Amino acid sequence: MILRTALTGTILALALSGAADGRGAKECAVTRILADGRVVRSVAPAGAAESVSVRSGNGAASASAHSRSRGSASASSSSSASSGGGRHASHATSSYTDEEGRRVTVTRDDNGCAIEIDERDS
Amino acid sequence: MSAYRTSAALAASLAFAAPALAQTGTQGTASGGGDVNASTCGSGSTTGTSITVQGCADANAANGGTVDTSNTARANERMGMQRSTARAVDADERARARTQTQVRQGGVVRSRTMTMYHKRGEKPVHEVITNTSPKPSTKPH
Repeated sequence: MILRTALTGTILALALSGAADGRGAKECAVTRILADGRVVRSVAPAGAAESVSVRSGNGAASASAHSRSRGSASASSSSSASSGGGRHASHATSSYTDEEGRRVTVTRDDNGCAIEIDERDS
Repeated sequence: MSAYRTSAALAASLAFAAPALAQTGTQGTASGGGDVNASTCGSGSTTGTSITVQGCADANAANGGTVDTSNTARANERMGMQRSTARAVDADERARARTQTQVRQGGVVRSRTMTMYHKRGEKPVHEVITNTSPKPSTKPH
């Protein structure tokens, strides 16, 4: 699990977990703890969202990535899956830039989760 | 202003002499030279024993609006599929792109990209690109 962040300000802690649900899907879950003690389940501001998920097993692999943002913004995502010879692999990346110039990138593959938050351009 | 452009570039369709490999992809961008643009890409390949699919999506709104992208990719021992969508909308423009790719084990690879750009007061511009790989050879060279 990798965590790189250039966040400043209200964020006191950022925890990242690569949980697997009961059906075998592995997702990235981000928890942000604000200065006033509130816990926010996403790094995304209002109007923005991202999610990544991968699943593999029984000779099959799948990956999905979604991103959304509002304002003067950009969003991008990518996913890949491969299978063959009894092996399989999947990879998903999702990112967005909000109108404050903060870039959030979340990546998930079969090995783990990574999130990169960069607001240096804001 | 009626200056718009919908550009689309085609990824290479490759058929190597040996070993058997089918591979192709498409990509496209919907843009009118204004504030919004959306692009997607997708590709797939099969070697006869393995399948790989991948896709990408990108959307931008420079002067306010909403952008969203979505990607899914699935592969098993028999087939692979991917779908990428991108959308960028503001008050008077919208751009949309979608790519879908299908791979059958030991068969052909098909990829298709559709783009649409629409500026208020003008006709929408659509473009479709389809690419199909040759079926991989099973004969030894």
